Amino acid sequence: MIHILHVAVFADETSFLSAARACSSKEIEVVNAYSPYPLHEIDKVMGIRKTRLPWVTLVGGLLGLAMGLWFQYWASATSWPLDVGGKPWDSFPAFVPVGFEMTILFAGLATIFALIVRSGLAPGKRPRRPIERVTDDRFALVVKRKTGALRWPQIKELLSEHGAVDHWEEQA
Amino acid sequence: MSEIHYSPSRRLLGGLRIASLISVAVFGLGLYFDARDTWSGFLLGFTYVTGLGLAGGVFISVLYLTSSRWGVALRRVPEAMAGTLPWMAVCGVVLLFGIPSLYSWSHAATAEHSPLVAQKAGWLNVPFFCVRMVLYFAVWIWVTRRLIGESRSQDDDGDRVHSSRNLKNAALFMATFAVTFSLASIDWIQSLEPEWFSTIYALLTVAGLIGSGLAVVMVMCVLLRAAGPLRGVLTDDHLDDLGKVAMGFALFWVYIWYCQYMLIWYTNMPEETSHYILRASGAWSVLTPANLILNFLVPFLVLMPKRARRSGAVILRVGLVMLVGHALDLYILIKPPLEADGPGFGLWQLAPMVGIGCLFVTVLLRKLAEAPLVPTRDPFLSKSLHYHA
Repeated sequence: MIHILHVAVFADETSFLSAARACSSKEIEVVNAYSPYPLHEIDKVMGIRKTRLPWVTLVGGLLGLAMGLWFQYWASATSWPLDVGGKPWDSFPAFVPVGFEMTILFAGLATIFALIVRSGLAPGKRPRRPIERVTDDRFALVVKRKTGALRWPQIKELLSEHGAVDHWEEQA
Repeated sequence: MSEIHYSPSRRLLGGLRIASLISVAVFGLGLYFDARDTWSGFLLGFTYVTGLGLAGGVFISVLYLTSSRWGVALRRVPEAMAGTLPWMAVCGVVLLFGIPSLYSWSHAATAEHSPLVAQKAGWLNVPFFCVRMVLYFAVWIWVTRRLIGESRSQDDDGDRVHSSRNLKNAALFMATFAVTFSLASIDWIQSLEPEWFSTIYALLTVAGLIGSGLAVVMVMCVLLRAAGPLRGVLTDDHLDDLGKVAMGFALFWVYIWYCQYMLIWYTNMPEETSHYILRASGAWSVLTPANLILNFLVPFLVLMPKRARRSGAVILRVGLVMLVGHALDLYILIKPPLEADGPGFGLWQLAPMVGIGCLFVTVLLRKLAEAPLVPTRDPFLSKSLHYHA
């Protein structure tokens, strides 16, 4: 199915945010927003759900901890027991540092890989920007019409009212 | 923004005064009936509260040195904590009278029986101990007074020069604090076991100091916000950041704790293991797991979800748990060499702790009332008020 998207470009933060707020209050879906710097408010306006990434970190960390401890136990108490300083083979205190490091390693790697996969990032991926200047001095909103909401001409009017300096339609 | 002022209620100050007077009376009786127990309580209260005062200095210095914006709105709380240090110096002078009851190295007989203690006599002797204590407090009070003074002067003229002067003061504080507190923690606590030593000891006590100091900042911020003065100034984002720092330092504390424990466990040298053998024998052995739960597991796990860190009620409770945990941590460090048969705790030990605690809270509240509760003309204040975690 082909969607028609509407892109509006703004020259300053205030008009960009007020347009985004106006869209969300008028049942117009803000599909994407581009800004040269982070704006905390836009997350709320776009209705972005709270990130579930910390759960990946937690599971990765616990997995690393379990594997680190299990491997050390297996290596030093089961597979090849060695007497080190007269300590018991399964000396838990000796396993803690490696268990700790494995927790951090797995938690970190799980987080970064989950982030890359979920955001669809890969080496050589071309950035999709409505215009190049959103990395410099322009802000852009990409909006989609919900059924039963305002019609296109009214949406265009609304965006212009809030100070859009340019807007056009795109197929996605 | 307009100036916000805080004034402690007369009832609160009156209650604190009565509690401290009763404590002083019981302290006097305790010196007569069980001097060693009483002095051990005094030492615990003194090191605890001096640590809180110094933690205030550390907190302010870190804010300046890292050009932190988020913490500017709540900086008056650590400033008031650091302002208690002159009173702690008075307590330090009182502690000097407890040296014979607390420190075995102060008796000539100990050195005769122990060549190790005899070798350390150049450092561990009563006159030098007193001189060092005066020196530590002189440095701490001098630098923290400069930090607090510049910050308050900025309230009057709003000049940025105070911020840049405090950047230098903060560097001076951190550099001198690192050396003086390392030595102080060895003097006051580690020397209770004069034959034993640990080169990471100062880091362990610093980690506990920062954790308990953060706990006081957390508790005071939540209370001042709930009681009114800081409502609308401190947001959930500030609590979120305090929670994150507390979580980080809980991890730091347990990391250092484990560093010391594991190396001693691994090498298994008799002169080093004595410290842990004492604390692992009999009823003492229950306290170490409790210490790890209160100072590490509770803050680390409870503050992990973002929603918990943004709740005043959770931050307050975790702060209180950390404060109890730090008292237990110091108890485990101080008491075993003085009472080898098993943990004991009674009125004689409690009284000086309550007395010093009441003194700290009274001075803290008075210092908070001395200046506007928010550094109104700090150049970073507006960034702090509109901060998003």
